[in-house]
Amino acid sequence: MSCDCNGAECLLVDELDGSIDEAGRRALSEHVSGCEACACARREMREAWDAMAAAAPIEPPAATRERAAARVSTLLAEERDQRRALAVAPIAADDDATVAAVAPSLASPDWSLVPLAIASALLVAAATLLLLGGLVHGTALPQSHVFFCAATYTGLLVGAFSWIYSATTVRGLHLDAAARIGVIALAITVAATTACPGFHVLAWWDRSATGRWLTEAIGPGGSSLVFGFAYGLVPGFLAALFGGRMLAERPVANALVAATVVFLLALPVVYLQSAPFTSGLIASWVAGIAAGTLCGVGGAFRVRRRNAVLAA
Amino acid sequence: MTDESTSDEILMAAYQAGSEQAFRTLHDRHAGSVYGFLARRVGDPAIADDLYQEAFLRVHRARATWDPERPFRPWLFGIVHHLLADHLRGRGRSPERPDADAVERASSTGEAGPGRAAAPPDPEQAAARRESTEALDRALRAMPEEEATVLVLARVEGLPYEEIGPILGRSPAAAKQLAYRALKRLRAELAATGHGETS
Repeated sequence: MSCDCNGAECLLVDELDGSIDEAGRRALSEHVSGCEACACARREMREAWDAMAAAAPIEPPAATRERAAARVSTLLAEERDQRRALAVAPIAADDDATVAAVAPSLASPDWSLVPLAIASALLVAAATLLLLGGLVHGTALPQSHVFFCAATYTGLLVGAFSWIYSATTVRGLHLDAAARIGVIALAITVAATTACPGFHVLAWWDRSATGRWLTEAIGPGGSSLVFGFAYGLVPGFLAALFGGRMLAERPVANALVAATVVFLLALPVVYLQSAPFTSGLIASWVAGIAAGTLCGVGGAFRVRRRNAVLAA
Repeated sequence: MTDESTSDEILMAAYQAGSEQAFRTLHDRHAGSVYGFLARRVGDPAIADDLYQEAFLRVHRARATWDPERPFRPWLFGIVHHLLADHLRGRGRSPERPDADAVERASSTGEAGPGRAAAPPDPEQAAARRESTEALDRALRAMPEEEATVLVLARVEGLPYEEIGPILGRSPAAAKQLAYRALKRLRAELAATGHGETS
């Protein structure tokens, strides 16, 4: 099978760097044998390609080379000093073990800040619970839901703020960043719940035109799944976009950890609004939230990475 | 561990985590490619020197953005290409001094690189090779920036077009078409200076 002149252009380029396959080689030979213009182009391109052999790398002068290396070395040393001064995860020292381990960032948590973190987390938890109590006051939700939420929120917030204050990074997993993302997502979720009529987003969705249409189209479980996906996607994406930071190491694992924290913090809200829906419907909603959160956090990480590349 | 067998990607991951030794090994490995890429295109050793310093500073600042799942060299040359493009745009693409001799002289004061190490001992051959190199450098500087870049990345660095395309913000097929045009232009530039026939 032959090719046209446009197709021959790409094949000629492939031929020069050796990436052409057998079918391409046959098609090119067939075309060139009947096309004088492409045969001429083939010769000219080979000449130019061979001439490029003269463009070998040029070693920089020794002084130029050493100056560049020294500047970066100085910056690395400054970063190490800054990290030590701030008592956060230290940058690995320069040794072969670092290379062998491919930078796992084995930083020891700084436990000295944990009491302060717990105290402040309790304060924040109390403030959040007051807000939550205000939100549910006057609604028909069972009191047991509120008590459950109170206990869960307190525990989760204590954990989250402990992470933030201790700035814990273990084996490349930035637990502090995950905690920060989780708390921001929780704030967005609570704000969205507050804005919802009756403070019950699942009931609102169930009554909405889109929710009813989806229920008719794919059933109540599918409708809950879709809503859960959006419910997790938006807070997860916004929180990771604005509350995360550039996580160069283990991007997939970091996204997974952050999404897990967001999901865990969202669970009390889910439970709070579970009545009077069936457990199957709630399970679909929760599954959707889990998937949406993971996609949202992962997507935000990719956006941050791309923006950082463009900025660089 | 930081010997020849350690891949660029492993070294880069260690550099991201703060290993100076990993950075130095990477730097040593790619110094000639980066400097050659810049020096041939700007012509002036002083400017090439400045750009070289800036290139590795940009690499350092951007190191957190390197994706461990992607190969290192396209990422490196993406940074160097954008740096060169910024520079050429800033000076309106007029070559400061199209003086290939200056780059050759300056580089000869440094260590002998791969290109120099292979220099034949025969003075006549050495002179002929030097003349070819100078003609090529002049031709590359006379070409549009992206066309020269695609040729250097494909021919000198041996990058596949699947990796060159993203560096230039094009698809692999578009990068091939660019290479096709660039080779034709290069051949014409060389022919115009009497260096068209290389074989």
